[in-house]
Amino acid sequence: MKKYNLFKVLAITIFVSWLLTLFIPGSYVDYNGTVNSNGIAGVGIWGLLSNLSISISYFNGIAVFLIALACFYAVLNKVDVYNAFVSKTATLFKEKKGLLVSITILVFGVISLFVSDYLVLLVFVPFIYKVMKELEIDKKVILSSTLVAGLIGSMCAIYNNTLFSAFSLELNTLLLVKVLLFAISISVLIVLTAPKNKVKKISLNSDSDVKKNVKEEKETSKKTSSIKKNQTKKVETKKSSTKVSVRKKVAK
Amino acid sequence: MKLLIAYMFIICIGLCILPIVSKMVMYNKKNKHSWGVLIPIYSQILELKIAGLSPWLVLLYFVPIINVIMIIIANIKFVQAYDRSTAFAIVSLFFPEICYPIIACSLMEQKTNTNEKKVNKVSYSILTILLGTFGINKFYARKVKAGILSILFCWTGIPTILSVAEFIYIVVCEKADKDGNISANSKRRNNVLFATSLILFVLFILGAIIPWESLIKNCVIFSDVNAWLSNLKIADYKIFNNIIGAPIVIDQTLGSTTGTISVFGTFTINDVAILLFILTLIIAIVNEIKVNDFIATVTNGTKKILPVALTAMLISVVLIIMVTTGINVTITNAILKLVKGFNIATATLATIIGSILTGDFYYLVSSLGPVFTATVTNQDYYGVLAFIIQSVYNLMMIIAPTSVGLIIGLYYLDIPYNKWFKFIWKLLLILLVIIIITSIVIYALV
Repeated sequence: MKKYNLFKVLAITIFVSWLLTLFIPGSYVDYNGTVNSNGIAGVGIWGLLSNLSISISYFNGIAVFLIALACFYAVLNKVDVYNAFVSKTATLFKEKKGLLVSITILVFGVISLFVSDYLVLLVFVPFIYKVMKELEIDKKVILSSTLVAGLIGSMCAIYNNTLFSAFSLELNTLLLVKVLLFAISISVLIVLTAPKNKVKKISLNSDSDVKKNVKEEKETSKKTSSIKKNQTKKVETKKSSTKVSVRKKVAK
Repeated sequence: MKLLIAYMFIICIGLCILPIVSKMVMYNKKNKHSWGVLIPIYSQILELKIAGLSPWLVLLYFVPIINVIMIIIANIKFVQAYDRSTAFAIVSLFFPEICYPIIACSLMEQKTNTNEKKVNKVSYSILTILLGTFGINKFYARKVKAGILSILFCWTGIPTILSVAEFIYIVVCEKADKDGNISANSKRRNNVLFATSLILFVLFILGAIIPWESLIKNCVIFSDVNAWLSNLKIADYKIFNNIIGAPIVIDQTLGSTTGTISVFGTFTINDVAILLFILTLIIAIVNEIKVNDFIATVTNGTKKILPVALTAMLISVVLIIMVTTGINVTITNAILKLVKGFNIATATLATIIGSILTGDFYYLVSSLGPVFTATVTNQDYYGVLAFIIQSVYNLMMIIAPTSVGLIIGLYYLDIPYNKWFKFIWKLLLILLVIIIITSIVIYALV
């Protein structure tokens, strides 16, 4: 059901982009740097389906990568050492979920600062997912601590071959600004997503506190028992009333 | 580098000394003088005696041609005297550095009544640190598959690192029994080795995707390694190119690149996929997963991921529509033309829409970059412009339905898009404000 929602969004996106081709003219930039209009050239339904096959033939690299990743982790999950390692990591962070999420965000973010393609970092996501799943961390937090952290790293990436060659920039261009932006952005992400370990502090320093707690527990148990009694009474009275009505009907 | 040379030197010395020490053990076992191995002709006489041949045959060693035949026969008989097969004896003729230590170690080995395989701690440790690179310690422990894998991958340096880790673990953590033996299949040791291999793999992947040569000035070490590997020849046969694959090398005369194996630091998703396939096979072999189980596991894994992979490819349709029609160029141009010259608001808005419509950074820059440079003629602002494009694009990939990474994540984790949007919009807004403020500050400073 959840996946249908995603497909709906994808279908709408493709439909909107296809629709745009029917009304907006296309353009291109020539060698002199002037933008020239091509006129409206709708893709058409046939063209849309043709584009589908083109996208499969052009972007199969990501599919091969995902299949390799799936095979790798499928085999790895069969290995006891790996499973033991996952559960050990999970127990290590059992009371420190926030710390685990913060570390993951930092690691993914810092690595992405230097990496040209953040998608490669998907290699580590199934492991993180398994550990966090054992700790019952929300899936959205898992996604934001891996993918979003990686994207924030890419946002401030020190080197980007495509961009640097297009705008003829140097390696040190706005380096300090990028590092500062990274620090701020990653802090915001940690604050917004990392789960807080709120532990109820019960002060049991004095005997009076203990007595108070015991009293409270007794009162709550009394209340619940009285509620249960009332409920059972109500049920019994209902039953008896229905029995009486049935008898009356039979008598009639 | 010096450490590596020192280690290689130790290995070479080990290769020279080990057969001699091994023969000493072998002589001793047959009640012969172990020091005899150090005296040339006397050692031949002792070997002939052990082989059950007449010691007078030593004279034949001085007759040309016949001495070659004599050496072969004597050596085979000598090895067979230690309950080894003829095939093993023939192999020992060519690789005495490997075969004699195996015989010597097995002689030192104390066989226990239980089914558990045991090896002598001292011999195993020495073999691990000196010949672990070639998996000789594994052969000694009768782990043939692991030994063959070590030989196959000895050129990568992975078996060397693993044998160092194993040596440290044995010396520090494992205690020998009364007879000086340790288990050949220690589960804890195997776990340590497996964990070390995984850490190595993670470090290798990280190292392979960080563009070192672009980040560090005048660093060409990895390109040089590729060039060296591609020129590695035996006679005229390019051994690395033909067996492993052609490393990518820049042709200095033509200025073009040839090859398939990327330079370390420039590994792409395809390269990592190949690495993953190889590693999957290795894990399956080492953990002795049966072929049928392996195929079933891999098939199940592929089945689960195939819809995600197809969805990731499906979303690229939008990119193809945009690139082929040039609509994104029209929209970007229209937005940028709203104001004369460079303007942070229009540049940000154009990047937001361009990112959503394109979804791929390379195509975004290559198709829309010229539109930006056509509008912003002052090159002083290129730094700010590049900053806006880079930061806003990646920001939009957190939420754009054309973001391949996001779609994979949402599908894999089974998160509905609307729930994701509700969860992330605050962060998106805060970061957008931060980016705009930063851009204004940079613009003011320029």
